[in-house]
Amino acid sequence: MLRQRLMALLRRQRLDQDLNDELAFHLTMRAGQLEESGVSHAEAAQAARRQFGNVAMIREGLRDMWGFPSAEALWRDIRYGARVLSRAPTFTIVAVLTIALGVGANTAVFSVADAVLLRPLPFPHADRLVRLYSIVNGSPIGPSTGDAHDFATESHTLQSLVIYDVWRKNVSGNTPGERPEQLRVGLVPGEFFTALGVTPLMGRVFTPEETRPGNDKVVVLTERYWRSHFGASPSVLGQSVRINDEPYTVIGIMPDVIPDWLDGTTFGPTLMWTPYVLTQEDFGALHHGDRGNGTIGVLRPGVTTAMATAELERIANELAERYPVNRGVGARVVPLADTRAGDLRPTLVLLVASVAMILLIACTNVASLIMARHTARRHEIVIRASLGAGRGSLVRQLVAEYLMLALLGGALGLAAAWIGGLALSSLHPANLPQLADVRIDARVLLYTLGISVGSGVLFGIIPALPATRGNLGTAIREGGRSGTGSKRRQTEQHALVVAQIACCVILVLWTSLIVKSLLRLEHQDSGFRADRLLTAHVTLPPARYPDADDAGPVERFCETFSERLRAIPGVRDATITTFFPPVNQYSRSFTLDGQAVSRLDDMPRASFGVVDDHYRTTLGIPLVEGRDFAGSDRATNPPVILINQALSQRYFADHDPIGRRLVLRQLSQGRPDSISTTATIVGVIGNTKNHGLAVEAAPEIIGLARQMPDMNAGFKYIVVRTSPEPFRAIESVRDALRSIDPELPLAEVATIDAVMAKQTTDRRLSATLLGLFTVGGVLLAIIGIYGVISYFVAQRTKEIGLRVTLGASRANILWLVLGAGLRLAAIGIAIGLIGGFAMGRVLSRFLFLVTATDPTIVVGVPLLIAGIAIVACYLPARRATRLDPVIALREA
Amino acid sequence: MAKTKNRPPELVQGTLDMLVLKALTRGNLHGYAVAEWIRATSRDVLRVQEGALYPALHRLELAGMLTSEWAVSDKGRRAKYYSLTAEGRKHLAAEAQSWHQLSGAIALVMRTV
Repeated sequence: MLRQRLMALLRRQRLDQDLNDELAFHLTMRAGQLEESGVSHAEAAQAARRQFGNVAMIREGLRDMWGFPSAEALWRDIRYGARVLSRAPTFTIVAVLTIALGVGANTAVFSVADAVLLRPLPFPHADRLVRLYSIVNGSPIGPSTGDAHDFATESHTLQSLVIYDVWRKNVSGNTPGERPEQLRVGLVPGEFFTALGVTPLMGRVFTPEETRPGNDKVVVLTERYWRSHFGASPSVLGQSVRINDEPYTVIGIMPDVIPDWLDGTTFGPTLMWTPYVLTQEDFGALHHGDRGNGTIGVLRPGVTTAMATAELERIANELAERYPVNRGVGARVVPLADTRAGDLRPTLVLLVASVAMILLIACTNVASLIMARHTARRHEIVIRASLGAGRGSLVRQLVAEYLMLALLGGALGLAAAWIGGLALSSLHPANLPQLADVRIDARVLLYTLGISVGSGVLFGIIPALPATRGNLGTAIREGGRSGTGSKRRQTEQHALVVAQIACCVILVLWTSLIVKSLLRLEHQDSGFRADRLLTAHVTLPPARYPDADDAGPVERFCETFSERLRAIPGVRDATITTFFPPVNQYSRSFTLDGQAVSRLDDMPRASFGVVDDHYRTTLGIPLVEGRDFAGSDRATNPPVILINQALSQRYFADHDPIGRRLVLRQLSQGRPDSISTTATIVGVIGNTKNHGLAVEAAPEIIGLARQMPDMNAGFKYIVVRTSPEPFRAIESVRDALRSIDPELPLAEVATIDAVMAKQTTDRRLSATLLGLFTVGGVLLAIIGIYGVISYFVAQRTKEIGLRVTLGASRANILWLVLGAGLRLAAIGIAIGLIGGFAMGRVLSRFLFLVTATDPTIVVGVPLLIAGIAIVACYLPARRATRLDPVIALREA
Repeated sequence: MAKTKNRPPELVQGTLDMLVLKALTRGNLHGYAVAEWIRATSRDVLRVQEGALYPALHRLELAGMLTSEWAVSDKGRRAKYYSLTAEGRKHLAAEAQSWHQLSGAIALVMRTV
């Protein structure tokens, strides 16, 4: 029976036709019979019709029986619904706006979540693409060339494993007079593209021959670089691009389908690729510690990431026995799609949860509006029922009406989300490249339609059902006035208020925790004076600035440049360095001189950088002990180093570090002894962050670049302290660079303030959005509570009148109403606190120097919500105290 | 008016379903043929109103006692043919038995002087 009805629904068109045919056949047969008995053709047809009765009505009855209303009936419902809604414009506008807010917020967040978490990657076999990480001290890092080679050859779960790297290089096209610009260039094998399943728009990818030394002067350009620098010229193949002062031949153009999030955009997007030159030596025993390569793996069909991880962990254990630098190093395989969200995942989970709550608040608001309206409409419904409308058609009518309301709200919400999306993408931060893919597409539309209809069912149809039930006679007699003041309806409304308050508590709780964390994060002591510092990056191409054995040219450049920077009017100090706070991506193993370490993996590691003798003064880091670097620390003198307080406290807790010596070891090159440098500690400086703002400063060692030529590579930051606004000095800085080497671009120009602000972009984004949502949610809830309490007062008019007559004071009445509101608020707050803490685990990722049970917040939020509840109840309560008992008693 | 005098007796409430089922024991019939068979078999006494016949047919079909298929009638037109299902047969048997009991009982009562 149910199946038949479903079939009927699916084949509605067909059944409609069948009904018509069946009845028409009957009429024809009857007319034929009459004609045989001698009646004329025209009369026979008429007589048959007459005898049959009302064909249209019978057909309608049969249609209803099959459970599918005719198109006319649906149209009638829609027109009727539209009329009803337009006759109550205030209700309609409030309800539509409320739904629009809920649906809009959800659509906006879903469009982001879809782009960042859900939508499949734009690659064929995307479900088999993975990334492989080595796990060092619990944190993932790209594998070394040697490890990756062994993983690839020994694994049976991986079909292929590609490693690649991304470097900053100075690039110029072939336009005459074009100055080089610093770009990110990917170093990849040809299989990089094969693994992703991307084929060039034209030309080809690298052959294995081209990844051998000497054959690698070929380049594959991205479509966008080809368009911007070659005007999309079809004859680009065979032309050349200069990369780090060497010509590379263009052999292929890649479509822009490889997303920027693949490797982050810390230094801008990757715009071209050259071959990753690896020799047998790179896979040998000496190259297992040099971690940090990017990877793309392809799983064999049917293999899960868990199976691959298990296998690679086993291989990692074998490697640990073969190579000392692999001790304690694990392996993990992660689906490529899961690496897309990165730091945004917890933010999104939080936002999805909070907009779900907004929608819930919105739905409960509309539901309570509708319940109040049913009181008024009960009369209408009863009359329609007594005029012969079946329960089915009554329900159908209400469904049409509320679905219309939901869809109107949904459409408005979609428009709002679209505008909001435009606003978001206009301020789309460059360091969140995942947001580039956010768009309103068919998936988002389907989602919006789904939640609109879903919320229509939630707020409209469920509360509407009881209205069509029940005893018609009683309802008519009661005139639809007091008939719905039933206990049950009241309980339902109170449940709605409790749910709203609980949702509010959760929203406000989360927002205040996150805002407090953000403020703590942004206002913590940075350990240096971060204002008025300008920074930029200069890449010195090895062709002209060799860094292998003789760093003379690099050092000469640095000395001249820093001198000229300091000579600029308005520049108070300047330094050339390999890092600046709050991030130092380099680290080095070291031992205390004279304290041998028996196992390589027991060797301590510290953040490490080489600077000049103006680093500390330019940044304004306090000197805690000893002395700073000085001009007298010549290149030929024995090397001296500064350490930070963290290192001093950890390794020199009970004796003076000044004058002690550290042995710095560059394990990654695989020749631990030949590269070790012994240096004397001359000073201890204050801690500055070196692993981002949210992580305590790690031990750090700072050397003098000129004394450590093997570490004096061609990637240099400048940091300039200015007396006026930092950007005013930028042209002079460019001039100074041009006067030394006109072919060097000044890249990544920013103030350190801006660099630090970038660190908190995602937190600030989530705090802002969450804050907006929370304000919206709380406003909705105030309206909701106000509505329910007003209704409570209206229903109790008679009771209140009676109480006043019997001598109740105004304060008594005020308390009667406020007490009812506060009781509900108390239950809601309790549920909200429990719910908020239950989700605390998600939250802990965001919290910095604030615990999920922060006392001011745990006390403050309930007080705030109780205050809001009091405000929302106060107006109706005051109205109750002003009731004239005589009128109240007469009217009720 | 003559029409009123000759008006066939009203069908006893609830017997239409039984009559329709009975008609279909003779094989597959379309709606018109069901009506005609009842009229002819009752010697023109029982005239089934179309307004009642089709709802009954569709109700029985939805209740699983009839199935239907479209076929070409002997007049060469597309028509919907109904046939009994096993459940329909069972139902008919039960209905018929209680009908016989009822009509026998009524006859007994009416015959008593």
